[in-house]
Amino acid sequence: MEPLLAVVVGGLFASGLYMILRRSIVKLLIGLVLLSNAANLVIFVTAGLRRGVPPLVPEGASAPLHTVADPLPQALVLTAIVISFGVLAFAMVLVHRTHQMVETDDINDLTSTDS
Amino acid sequence: MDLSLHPHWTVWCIVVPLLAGGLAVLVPRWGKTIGLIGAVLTLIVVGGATLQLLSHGPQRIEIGSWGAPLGIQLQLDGPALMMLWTTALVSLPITVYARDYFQTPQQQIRFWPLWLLLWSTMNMLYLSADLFNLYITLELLSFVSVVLVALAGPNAVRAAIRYLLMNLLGSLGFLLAVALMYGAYGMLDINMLAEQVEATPLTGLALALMSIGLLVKSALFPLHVWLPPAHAGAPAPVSAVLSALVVKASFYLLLLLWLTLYSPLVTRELTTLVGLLGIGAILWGSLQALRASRLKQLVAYSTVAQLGYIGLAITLIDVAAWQPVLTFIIAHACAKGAMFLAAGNFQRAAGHDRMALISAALRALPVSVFAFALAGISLIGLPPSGGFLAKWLLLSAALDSGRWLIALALVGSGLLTALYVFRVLERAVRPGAALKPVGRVSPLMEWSALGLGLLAILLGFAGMWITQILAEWPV
Repeated sequence: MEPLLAVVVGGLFASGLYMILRRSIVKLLIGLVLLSNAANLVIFVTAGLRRGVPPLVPEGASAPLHTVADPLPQALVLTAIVISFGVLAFAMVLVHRTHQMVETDDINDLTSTDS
Repeated sequence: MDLSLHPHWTVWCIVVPLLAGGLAVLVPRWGKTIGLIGAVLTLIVVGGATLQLLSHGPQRIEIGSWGAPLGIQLQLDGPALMMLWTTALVSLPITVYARDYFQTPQQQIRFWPLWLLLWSTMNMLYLSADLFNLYITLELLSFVSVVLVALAGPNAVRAAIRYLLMNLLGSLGFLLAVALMYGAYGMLDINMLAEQVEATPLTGLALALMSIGLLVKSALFPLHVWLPPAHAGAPAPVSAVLSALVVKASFYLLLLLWLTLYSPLVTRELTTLVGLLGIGAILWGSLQALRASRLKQLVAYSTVAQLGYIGLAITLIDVAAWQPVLTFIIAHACAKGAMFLAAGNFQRAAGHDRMALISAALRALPVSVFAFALAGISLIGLPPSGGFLAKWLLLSAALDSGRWLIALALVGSGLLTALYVFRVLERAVRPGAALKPVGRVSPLMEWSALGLGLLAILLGFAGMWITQILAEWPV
């Protein structure tokens, strides 16, 4: 399963990088979405895709009895997803606002910031 | 009651500004008051953390009693304490300034919660000892900064979007590196990782991604392109805090990671590369500052140039470690804060900041010109300022280890700095008609700029403290 996910991560990174090199600002944003999803997937895969039971400690014991799934990457990826969701929502509003102002989708028209 | 025994001062450094920010959301009408009280309280709490460090030495705090590697730890040591103090001392005058700077209630409502959240985030960054938590603080930092830049109105939106996109890429690099480190070592706590890190290709890749991500956020040449428009276009208090503190926070983090976590991998070649970029930054930034047609642009390009010094200082971390870099960061924070606040005053009085027409505003505001000049003295590195102390430390470290090129770059760049500082000051003594003020500059706005300028000079006398604190409580 891991090699397959590695290929998926690679594909996401490649397409994300391609998209952020485009001139259209909307495509740039899509590129960022792809890149952040690729990064999240990397976090998820780093722990290894093993079958394991939830990391619950039974009553009376001080450690889980069976092999448990590593809970940390799941917590990390959840946090990372929430953050990227918030950031991208904000970026979308900002792009929309820019579009209203400069009435263009071309990143080259944004280079002049001396207004 | 022995106050220093109170165990939670470190946590309060994060919580106090955060609570004040939340309160400013709930009661927007009292934003001004909440901002000031929050700032003073944060200063007091940082004082408490200092007492705690003095009596108990470096602190590790396990949040919610979850120890590493599962939980997130906070860590208070010498460098973190210096950064806490810098942030508090620079932020207090900026808070006072912002109370009078923002005129419409709408701006006030938006500014205060964001400002206090920014402060809380910076404190959290200095204190975190967990890689993922550091990623969160970095993301929060750039996120809040972008919104603050966009407060300047429609014209700043372009600058804000550039800032956001570049910083998003930087955070992404950092996040990937965090994932790789977790994959390789199965833990995220900096202190535990530092004992385990080996020079493997995977760790090298993580180091590269993390360093590039942080250098984008610290705007080291040639990754600085987002900085001048954002810092020049933001409202004056926001420019001041972005230039003085926010870019330094990511430099601090870079230094922390290089000195602790990645010390087996950080070679002379790597630090030399950063040093060369630093020289590039000094030349390019100074040149652009000399050419700038607007005052705030000039000051922003000066930040690009001065960040180059930190790059230069990083080449010396193998002989001098924290001290010269931190001294430089603190000196530049005070000086650049003062410069941006003064520039904001000129802009407010004249209604613009075009260099060609600014001299009337300079003549009308002598206190602000004085503040600008004091800050300039520190930037150039004339004694007895904080900038002089920092350059002295850098120079002696460079000469002791026989790196003549760095010494030469340090001395030569002082001249370039002097050129662009005097380009502004010379306009204050030109004859001409009196200014017809467009906006009102309150005395507090002038005096808070002057306060920061004085702080930049006075820092020249605090060298012993910095040495002591860093020697006594290393990371």
